[in-house]
Amino acid sequence: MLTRNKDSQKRKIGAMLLLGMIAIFLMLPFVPVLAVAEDAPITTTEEAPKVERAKDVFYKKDGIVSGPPAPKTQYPADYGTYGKLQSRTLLWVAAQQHLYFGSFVLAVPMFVFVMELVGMLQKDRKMGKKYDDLAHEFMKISLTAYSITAVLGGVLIFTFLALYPTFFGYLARTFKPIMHVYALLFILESGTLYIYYYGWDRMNDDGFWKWAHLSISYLLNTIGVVLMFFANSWIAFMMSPAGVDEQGRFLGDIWRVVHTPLWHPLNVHRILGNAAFGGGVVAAYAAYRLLSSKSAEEKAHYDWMSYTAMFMAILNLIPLPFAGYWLMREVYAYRQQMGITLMGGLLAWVFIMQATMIATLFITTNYYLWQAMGRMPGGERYYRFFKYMLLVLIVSTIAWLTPHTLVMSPAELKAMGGAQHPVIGNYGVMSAKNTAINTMISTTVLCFVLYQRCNKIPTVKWANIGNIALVALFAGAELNILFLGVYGYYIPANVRIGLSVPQVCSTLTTLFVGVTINTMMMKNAKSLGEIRWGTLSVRGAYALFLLAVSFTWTMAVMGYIRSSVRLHWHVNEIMRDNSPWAFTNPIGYAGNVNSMNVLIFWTMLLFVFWLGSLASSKAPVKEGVSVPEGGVVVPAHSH
Amino acid sequence: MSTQVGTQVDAQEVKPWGKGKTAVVFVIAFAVAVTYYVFLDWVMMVPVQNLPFPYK
Repeated sequence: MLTRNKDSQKRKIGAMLLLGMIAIFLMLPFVPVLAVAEDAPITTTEEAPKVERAKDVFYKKDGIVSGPPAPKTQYPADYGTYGKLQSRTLLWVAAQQHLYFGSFVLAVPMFVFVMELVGMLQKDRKMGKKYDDLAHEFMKISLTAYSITAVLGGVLIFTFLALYPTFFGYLARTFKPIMHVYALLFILESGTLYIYYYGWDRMNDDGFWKWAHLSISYLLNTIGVVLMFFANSWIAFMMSPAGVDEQGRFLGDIWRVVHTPLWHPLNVHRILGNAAFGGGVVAAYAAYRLLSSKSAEEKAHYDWMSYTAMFMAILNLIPLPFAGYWLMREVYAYRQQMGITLMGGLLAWVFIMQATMIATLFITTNYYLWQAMGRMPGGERYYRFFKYMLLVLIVSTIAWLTPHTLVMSPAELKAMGGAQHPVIGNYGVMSAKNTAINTMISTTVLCFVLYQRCNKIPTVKWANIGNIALVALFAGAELNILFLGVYGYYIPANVRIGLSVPQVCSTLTTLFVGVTINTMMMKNAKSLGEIRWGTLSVRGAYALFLLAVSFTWTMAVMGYIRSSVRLHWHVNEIMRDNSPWAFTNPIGYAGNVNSMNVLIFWTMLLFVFWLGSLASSKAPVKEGVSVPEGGVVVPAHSH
Repeated sequence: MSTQVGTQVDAQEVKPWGKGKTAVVFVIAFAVAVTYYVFLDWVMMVPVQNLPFPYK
């Protein structure tokens, strides 16, 4: 009894430790960032001030000039080359590979934190251990990827130094006050990661040390996110510089240089994007292991793992388009021309490619859920709805990827009566596209709701009302989304742009209210049978590969769009790119480089997966043992 | 990642309503839903964004 009290006390102390740490980190934004003006001359009261003051290009406030102007580069003096290879493409590949692995190692610890916490909060200790083991396995994959991330970071810096030394020098000088902080944080992250991973078993006491272990996870994630914010500040500065004057001279306040107008939208978009991507990659790993497993237990385990990772990916994928809209809105607010270049000009066709990829992501997500319903007794009740959902998804996809205008010959232009098609052209505007993406997301939510109730029959007294309420909720949301879409054609553009907000809110209503009602209805529901984990169809497993590759390709194309929008500038309107590669690539070339990047990443990732399978110590495989027909292997009571 | 429940096989299934009752309740529920969404549109446009809704 006394021991139990002590354990409980230790557990409470551990929980307090975690909460304390969370509280401390939540207070970080309130810590004022000190202005650093190291190079500014010191003035005294006796001497006349010799400081030069200049106006911030974004904040429009005066500051003390504290750095040299942005260099005016010349080719070849300021640019390096490797033979006839395009320096820009080499840097592009190095940056993309580092970003892929960086995103992965940032996202996985986030899932691991959630998994470990869910495991700790489970009343059923057996179930808790399953979550804990799963979290541990996630971390194992991340560990190898972490080493590769560090190596690729080195490759990226060397590529910068070798090919773009002058530009890199300027960037390093401007961000000097935080460069060393970044390096120190990286060291701290490495140490935290290794303590976290290697201390897993030792600290697994279901008490104080387990909470302490979770606190380390929280610390690890915080450091990872701060590191990403730092890296984001560099690219945000290149797109929308602040804290410097029009010559690019640092004005002494590092916070302004970091806190550029696009920094936060990029931060939010990247966190969600990385998390969705990380979930997709882990799901692909689990699908790979599921397909290659021989025993029923292993198949069941990896089926469950793939579902859990997939769930994490969807959870982050759903709000991702909204974060994207926010980013675009801020781009338009910063420079309208930049927004037009992105969505209505030079890069508009690349956005069509992006739309195709995101549509693929949503269709694949739904397809996986339909396949996954096959392993649930009672799922067949909902099969008849799939074709209608597919129809909605396909129609939305077609509307979403309809271009506004086409590149045409004069004869074609004349025949059509203008660059915009008289009928189809109507689907090339934002009213149609917002409607399409919101419809796709709502359909995905509906699919998830059906998945949740596949093998259950509600027994709550208000089940009939609940079912009707769900139908009314989804039908009402779709009606509203369509109404706002059509309404947008009849009002001025400045009002129309605001309609995206209620459209998004309608979609979010289906997500939050719909899932909540459904979850409440499933309380004490009658079961039609356990989920037959391990019996996911091969097509379902391949859907997970498609999903992960689509995430990877989407990241590549979006990264290309984001970077290309600077056009012939290293730093927008501050430092011009005078290399021979300062032009915007043709779509075909960009697509090929993106595909090559995806291929390189997945080749390296297969190596990571292979290492993961080498180190695997799961249940021994027995020859000839497979999932019995109609048999149920339950690694977990959760889905 | 909802926890799977539903192992209570003795739980009583709810008897479905007839078509008439279902239709009446659906009409009421749908009217409530539409009212909510129109109100949502107004809130998100007028107080939140200071934009006219409906546009005149």
